[in-house]
Amino acid sequence: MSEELVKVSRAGKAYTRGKQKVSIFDGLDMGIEKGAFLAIMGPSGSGKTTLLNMLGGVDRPTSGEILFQGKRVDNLSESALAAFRAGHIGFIFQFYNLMPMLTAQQNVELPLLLTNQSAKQRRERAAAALEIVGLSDRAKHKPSELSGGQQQRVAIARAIVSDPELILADEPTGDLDRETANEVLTMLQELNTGYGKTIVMVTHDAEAARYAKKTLHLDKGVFVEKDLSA
Amino acid sequence: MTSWGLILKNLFRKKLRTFLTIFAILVAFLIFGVLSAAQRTLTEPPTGAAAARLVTTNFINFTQPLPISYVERVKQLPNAKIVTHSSWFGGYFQEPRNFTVAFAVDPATYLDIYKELQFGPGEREAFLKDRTGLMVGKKLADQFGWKVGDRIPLKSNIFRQKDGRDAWDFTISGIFTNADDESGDQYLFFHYAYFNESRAFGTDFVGQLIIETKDPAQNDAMSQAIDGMFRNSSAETETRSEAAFQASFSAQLGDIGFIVTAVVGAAFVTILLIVGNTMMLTVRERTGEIAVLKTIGFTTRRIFAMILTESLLLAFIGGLIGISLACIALAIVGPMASAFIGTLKMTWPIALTALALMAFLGLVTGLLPAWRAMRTDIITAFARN
Repeated sequence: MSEELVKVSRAGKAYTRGKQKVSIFDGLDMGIEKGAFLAIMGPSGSGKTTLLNMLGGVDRPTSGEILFQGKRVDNLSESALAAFRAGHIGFIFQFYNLMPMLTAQQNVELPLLLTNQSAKQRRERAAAALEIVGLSDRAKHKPSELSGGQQQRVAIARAIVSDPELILADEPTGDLDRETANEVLTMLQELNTGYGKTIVMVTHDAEAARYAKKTLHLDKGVFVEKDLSA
Repeated sequence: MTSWGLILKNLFRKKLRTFLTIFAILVAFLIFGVLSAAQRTLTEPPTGAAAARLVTTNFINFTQPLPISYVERVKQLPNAKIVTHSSWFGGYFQEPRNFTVAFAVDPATYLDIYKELQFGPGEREAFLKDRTGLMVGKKLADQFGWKVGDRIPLKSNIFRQKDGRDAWDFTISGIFTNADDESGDQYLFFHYAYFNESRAFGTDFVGQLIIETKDPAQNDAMSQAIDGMFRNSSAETETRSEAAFQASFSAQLGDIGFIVTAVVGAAFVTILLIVGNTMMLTVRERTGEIAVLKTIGFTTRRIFAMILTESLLLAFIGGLIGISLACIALAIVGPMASAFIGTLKMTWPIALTALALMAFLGLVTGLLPAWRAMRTDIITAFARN
């Protein structure tokens, strides 16, 4: 039986818009097993990104709880949540969100500044991460000198450099052409199968979702599950 | 890549803007350094023997002369110990730009009263003997490369000789230093008699009397006695301590304290607005990046510290360059200005005040942006981007 990495129990998320209370989820349950590659699809405003943020400790549910490796994380303090994100979660964004003044190598090193590793260790790990994404030869280049696909690969290297258990990708191919998107998705697939990384990816793109082992459709706070691995 | 590296990369990401901001800070601290040095020189009271001396000038102002006969009359006062006089020569060497502070003095009494002047062996006697003798302060001698025995023609921008010549010939009898005041050796003096007998006008008038009293505690009464003696005469007098005289001399240039406060204050308020605005703009532009840093695990405290450090670095880089340039400016301008207002130099109190101002500037301009960066909400920031 697979080990459960994340468990969402009766999670609710609501916010107020003017005087009106808007509910995104109400009593949402889900489990993410270790080693899963999960795609979450759904129409705009269905709460995909909100769910991803809650899984990554960026946002908190207004009710219910989120457990990571059996420990509750939704009620952690801000600084504890920051430490949780630094230690366990890797983030990949649609628009890469690299620091423009830093080289690829320096961007990848960023999360390691939060560790106790020496400068040499940080350099070595960043170099290793860039090698995994096939960008060793672009280490000294700044984001403006890289293509969109290369920038996203740098972002992937940044997400994996601290060896997190869970990688969260929010529309990682949303800004890329088909061919480049396939390269990035193949890379995520390799991270999942080759390195055992658990990945949750939010996407609008059904083609992208095919790279995941499982796709969940989120609509009005309810999941519809499809198993694509068969 | 280190945390400091990240801060520096952020600081210099828009090089032109950063350099312009640093330049603005630099100018403010350059002004602060130079004006503070001027204020210190002009307002610092004399110490040592100078503190106990009295100076009598014409009541109208110190540029108006007094009859030389006043010297003998003041000497008759019971509290008078030594009375001497000096007269402004308005001298320059060869060209008007080689301006020198020069006085015609009564040699014996002048040297008696200015005990803090120190000479080489035999130089005092040589000066007293030679009517064309010249005593030169060491800094001035160094400036012109003069040495004892040199014959120096000095011109005046006020006086002419009776025969129409505009230069007086002198022989350097000695080179002095001032034991009480390191800036007190940037002038020269010579025999009043030699100057007085040959000048075309102003004969038997002197610029000021300088009095050493037997009992300095009675100086106020002595001042009143001197001024009372010459009341309702053609040249009424005003007698003050040397410190008060120097303060009034400074006042001729305006209220230096107010000028320094006003100029530096205006400069700093402007800089505060410029740097504060720049930092706010910087943080606003980087909202998305700050959200990314927070997402990958940077704590709010760390973000706060990074922005504040950036702001402090900006203030200290600009400030230290500014103060360094002020030191260089003072080293260059100081010797020229010293002829007029004394030695201009950077002192520890000025430097420490500048450091405190740098810290203040960095903190004030960095706190709000750092607080805003710290409060950046990840979700809102990403939604906005």
